[in-house]
Amino acid sequence: MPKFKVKRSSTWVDMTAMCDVAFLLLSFFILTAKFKPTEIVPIKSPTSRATEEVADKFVTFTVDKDGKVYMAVGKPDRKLQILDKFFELNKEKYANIPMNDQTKKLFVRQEIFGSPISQLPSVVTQSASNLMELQRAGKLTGIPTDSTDNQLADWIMAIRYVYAEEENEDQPPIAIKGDQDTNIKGVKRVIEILKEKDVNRYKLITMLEGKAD
Amino acid sequence: MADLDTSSGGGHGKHKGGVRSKKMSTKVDLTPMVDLAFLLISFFMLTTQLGKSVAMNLSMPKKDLNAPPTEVKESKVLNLIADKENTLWYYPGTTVAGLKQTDYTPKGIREIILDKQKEVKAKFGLDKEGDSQMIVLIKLTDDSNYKNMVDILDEMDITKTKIYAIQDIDPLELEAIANGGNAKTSD
Repeated sequence: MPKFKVKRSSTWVDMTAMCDVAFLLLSFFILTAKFKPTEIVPIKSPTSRATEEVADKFVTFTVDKDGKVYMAVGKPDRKLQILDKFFELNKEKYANIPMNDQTKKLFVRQEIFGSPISQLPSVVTQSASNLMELQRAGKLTGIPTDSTDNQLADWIMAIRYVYAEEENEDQPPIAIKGDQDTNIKGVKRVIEILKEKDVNRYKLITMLEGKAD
Repeated sequence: MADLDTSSGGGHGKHKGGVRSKKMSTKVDLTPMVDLAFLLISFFMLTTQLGKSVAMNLSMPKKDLNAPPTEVKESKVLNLIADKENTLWYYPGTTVAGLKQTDYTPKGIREIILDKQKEVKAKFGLDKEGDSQMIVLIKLTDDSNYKNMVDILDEMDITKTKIYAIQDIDPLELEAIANGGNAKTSD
């Protein structure tokens, strides 16, 4: 009599393929992730429910914990135009500041600017890490906003001109970024100057809600 | 598939008398490795999502020195005043009186806004778009911080309050706050 053999299938599942897929995905996510660049001005933004993504095109005014104002322009070509416009509009006022193509190039390359215009030629020669150290030591004074020497207003005018000419936008894409502990006085001052210069629509940069820290 | 069958075959082989070297299986259990990989994937995906910056829109009225101040119905107005150390004062109407203290938790500010919304809705109904007609005036003392401002504006979004304005603080309000919420009697 023939024996009946019960065929037993193994419970072993080959995991190699799955492992390949998992690591492929892992490497993909790691490589495509955009790491937050080390910021020269450390900012811990408050959280909000807002959902609009922060775009590269924004001109961001950062107000740090001490109320100093810094400017960052997302698009390099706009940044150069803004600088040129700034000097064009205030020819007499800032005539004594030496500007050349090299200084302009360095200015555009620098991530953030937070000094009086008179210091621009020397500040732009600093490397990012030097700038960070200067910021930490409190040596960067921020863009002057007081009424006697309101350079922020001049910058805003330059920004408005550039965006009106280049992109036909009456309201430039200005964003305000503040640390959660920033005293409101500094932010209010920036808003006030924006209002004076007829910029009524802007963005506040915050973090997506739900981050546990 | 990827594993070689090198098992010794259960003993019904023909080399019974020969020297048998023990053959190890080349099968490696990859389950823990897959677990680890997926754990890392989820970790990276979650952390990249949450560290994102988002932009909040803010529109301010145009500066027009000749424009007359807008007249508003007093019973539609709610004033919120952000003060130091995350305290928040509020009072209804336009006369500075009876300031009460609250905080930024959902139980605090949100309840107050929603209560006022109900009150305004009962009195004036909703506007054409179906939004509340309540007007919130936001005032920030010099001791408040940026987080307070963002929190209040966020609360406007959560409670779907469409009419709000950031205003300068009134000296009377500062006095009332210094006085513990009661307006100073003018005597």
